Formats: sequence, structure tokens, C-alpha cells
Amino acid sequence: MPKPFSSLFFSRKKAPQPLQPVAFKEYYTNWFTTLNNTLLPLINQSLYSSSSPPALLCSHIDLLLQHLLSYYDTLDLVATQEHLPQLLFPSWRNSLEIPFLFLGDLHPYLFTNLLRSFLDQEDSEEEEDDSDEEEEDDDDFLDRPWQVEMAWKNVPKSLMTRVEQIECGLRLMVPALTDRIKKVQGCFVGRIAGDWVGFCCEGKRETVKVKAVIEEAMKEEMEEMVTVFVDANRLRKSVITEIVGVLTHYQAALFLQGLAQFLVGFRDPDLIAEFKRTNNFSITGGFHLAF
Amino acid sequence: MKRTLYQPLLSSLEDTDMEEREKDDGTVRKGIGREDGDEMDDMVEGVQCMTLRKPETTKRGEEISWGKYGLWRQGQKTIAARLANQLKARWQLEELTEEELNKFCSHYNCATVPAQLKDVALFFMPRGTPPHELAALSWLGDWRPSAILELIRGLAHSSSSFLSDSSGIEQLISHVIHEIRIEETIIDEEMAEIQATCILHLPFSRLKKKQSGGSALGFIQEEFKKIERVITKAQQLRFKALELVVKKVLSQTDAAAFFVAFTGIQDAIHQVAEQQKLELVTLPTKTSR
Repeated sequence: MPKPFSSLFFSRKKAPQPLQPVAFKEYYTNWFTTLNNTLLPLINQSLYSSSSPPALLCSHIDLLLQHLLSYYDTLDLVATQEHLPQLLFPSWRNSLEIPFLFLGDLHPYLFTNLLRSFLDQEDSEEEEDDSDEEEEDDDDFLDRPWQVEMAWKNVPKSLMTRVEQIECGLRLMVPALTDRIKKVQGCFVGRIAGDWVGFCCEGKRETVKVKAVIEEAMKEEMEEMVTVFVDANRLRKSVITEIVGVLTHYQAALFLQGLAQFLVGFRDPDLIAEFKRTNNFSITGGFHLAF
Repeated sequence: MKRTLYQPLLSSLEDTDMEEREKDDGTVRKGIGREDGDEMDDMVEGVQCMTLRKPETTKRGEEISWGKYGLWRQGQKTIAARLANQLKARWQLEELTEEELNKFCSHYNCATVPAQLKDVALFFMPRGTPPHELAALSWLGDWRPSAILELIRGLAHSSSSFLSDSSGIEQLISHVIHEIRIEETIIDEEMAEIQATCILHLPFSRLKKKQSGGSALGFIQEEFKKIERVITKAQQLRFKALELVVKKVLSQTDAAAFFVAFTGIQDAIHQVAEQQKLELVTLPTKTSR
């Protein structure tokens, strides 16, 4: 059984620490390589190979889950006020990823949307089956083992209730995070404005003093922002754990596989190369794509 | 428009003022060494001297009447000239604040909204903006509209001498901040929707992979189009917040004071952020913790 949502949110598990200092960028590259080259192929193999024993699937689910969670643990470790600006605006992310980042990483709603895509797809497939049982266009259908095929069929009501609870928790926590950023940024500006007037009115606007005030205010703001960043990562971590916790093995494997494929897709070299080639194309039209 | 109509009047008043000053300098002021601020006294003396030089043939009654009239005219002209200078300064202030607002209008409304795919990431992380500045202030690529208003509230709150009607402004600004924050939240939700559903729409998502139609870049372009629309709304909201306070909340002088402070503070924050050392983000080692 998974840990309750709240206890996961407030726990701070330490990630393994290296003996020598490792740059986060390097860590991220290694982390991604492990995901792409080892863990995603393993889960694919467990899901689609009929000879793969169920015990191996459980082990691969756990490996992939721990790998995903360890990334957030590592972010926790490096989240200091000095590092925060670089973590919020990571230079190691590519130009395709950057616009989709929320507080430096994936939006927490994304995980529940992925889960919903499995649940809703099954609903729509059931409806299609009812209306026209003869047609079956899904190429994967024949290749998929029976357990994978049946993973999202007849989902119990209790699962739907849990999913709704997770979504409900997110709807409370995400706006709270954005409100905190709003407040912290507003306070920073308000504080500087106050000090600025002080220097202006006394007729001794000394650049050094003004800058010292701003630097101090910025430092304090970053400290506040670290707590928001850390909480956002804990929220992401707890949502993934919670989702996996309420799913069956095959459901969990498919969910984690979908998430890993999505993360890998963002850095697909062919796609990135194509994206870079079309950098000069207009967003709102003006270029036609060959289908 | 009113400025154009008043301008001929203003220049004629200026000319008159110049003539009077030259006359004063040539008669009374020379060698007396009075302070400039005491113009009315100068005027009285000037008129008296001129009266003494009048020909003897003039009758006494006429002298008194002419003297009074001259004195009144001189006084009137001097005050009018000073008023004209004040009006001119006011119009210049109005013109400058309007010019500044127009610059923000073009900056927020068309100049910076990304037009190409490559511009979107750059909009969120512009090359010239240091990470500390982005972390401290950035909301969808630029200053948060409510933070701009917080700046005015901070200016009004900290000193009554900076803005003319501090307490009144504070109340109004608080109301505007509340309204603008609601709109910010709506935009936040729209952006969250895009970031949360990209897992369904980007070409490498499991659902898109199963679809036969559509190219990878076409799907990316669709998502970037949505982001561009949100950015446009955010930019419009920034300008709306500025326009609202400059035109409806602040007086002309306060608006000018705000623009001066805003530019100065933006510059100072940028400079401080640039000076912040960007430490390499490293994982703590076992021995150091």
C-alpha cells in the first residue's frame, strides 16, 4: 500500500550523495541516459515480452519509479538560494522543453492528465466497440499481451474515487504554489520601492547602498522561493507515487512507461534537429508542413 | 489637442516676459543686486523711476492714473508669464508621460510577443536577462502586472512626499491589485492547462504516437500557438495595469514620479542580478554534509 498523500508531501527523502562534486547538468544527462537506454527498454520488455515473469515487471516498475523520484530528491538536495535561479530557469533544458516548464519541471497536473488519458481512452474504446465491434484499427492490439490489453478494462469505482481525490488535492495545492510566488515577488518589489523612496527623499541616492538593499532583498526572496520550489517538487513526487500506488502492476507499468516515453520524447535528437531547422517558421502560420 | 491650441498664447506670453525682463535690467536692476525672487518689488521701483522721468507738462491726476494702470499691467504680465512657464512645464510633463506610456504600449503589445518557434523559449529565458532577475521578477517572460502595481503601492506607502495623495492612492491601488490578480490567475490557469495537457498533444505523447495523421512539427506548432496566445494576453495585462494606474489612479506628476522610479528600479535590479555569481550547481558530496 502506498503512503498517504500528506505524509509523502512532507517527507524529505535524501537522494544518494556522490563522493566527488558532480555538476547537476552532468547528473541530469546521466539520469536521462539511464532512463532512455536502460529503464524504458526494461519496462517495455516486461510489458510486451510474453516470456517475462510478473516478478520482473514488479522489479522494473520499482526501478523506474525510484529513478523518477530520485530526480526530485536530487533537486531537493541542490535547492539553495544560490542555485535556485538556475534551477527555475535551467540552461540544460532545450528550447522545446522550456515553454512547458512549471517551476523548473513538469506541471503537476500533467501526471493526472496522463492517467486520465488511459482511463478516458478505455471509455471511448468501449463506446467504439459497442457501436462497431467488427472494426479494430489499433495496430498494437495484436502485439499486446492479454494483461496489457485488459489493464484499463472495467476499472473499479474505488480507483476512480482515488483518482478524483488526487486531482482534488492538486487543485488545492497548485494554486497555493502560484499564489506564494505571486506574493513573494510582490513583496520583493514592494520592499525595494520603499527603500528606493528613502534614498530619493534624503537626497543621497548612493548606488552602492541601493544595490546592497536590492541584493539583500533578492537573497531573502530566493530563500522564500526555495521553499516553493521544494514544495512543488514534493508535490510532483507525491502525485507520481500516489498514482502508482493506486494502480495495478500492469496499469502502473503503462503509466510509468507513458511518462518515461514523454520525457524521452522531449529530447529526441531527430525531433530536436527538425525543430531547430524550423526555428525561423512563424508560430501563427506561414509555414506548411508536409504530411 | 488642448496643448496645440494654447501654444501660440504661450509663446506670446514668453516674448512679453522677455521684453519686460530686458527693460528691468536696463533701468532699475542694474547695480542694485537684488534677489531674483523679489520681482514684484523690482516692478514697483521700476514703475516709480519711470514715473519720475515723465515730462513736467503732464498733469498730476494723469500721472497717478497712468502709474496705477502701469503697475497693474506689469504685475499682471509678470504673473501671467510665470503661469505660462508652469503650464509649459506641465504640458511637457504630460507629453513625456504619454510618450513613456506609448513606449510601454508598443513594447508589450507587439514588439516582444514571439512570432517564431525559436522565440518562445527565448521569451521565457531571454539571453540578456540574468537568472537572478528572472527568478526575482519573471512571470511569463516579464514583470508580473501585480508586481508593477506593488511597486506603486510601495512608493505610496513608504513616504507621503513621493506621491502627492499617498493614502488615497494606496486604497485605489489595493483595489486595482486585487482586480489585476484575478486576471493574472485566469492567465495562470490557461498556461497551466497547456503545460498540463501537452502530454496529450505533443507528438511524442502516447496518444499522438498512435495517430496516423499529422506531422510532429505540426503538433508542436499547435501547442506553441496556444502559448503565444497566453503570452499576448499576459503582455496586454501588463499594459492594462500600467495604463490604468497612469491614467486613472495617479496624477500627472505622480505618474511621472512612478515612471522615473520604475525605470531606475528595473535598472538597479538588472545590475544587481548581473553581478550575482552563478555558482555551478553541484550535488553535495557525502563528506560535505
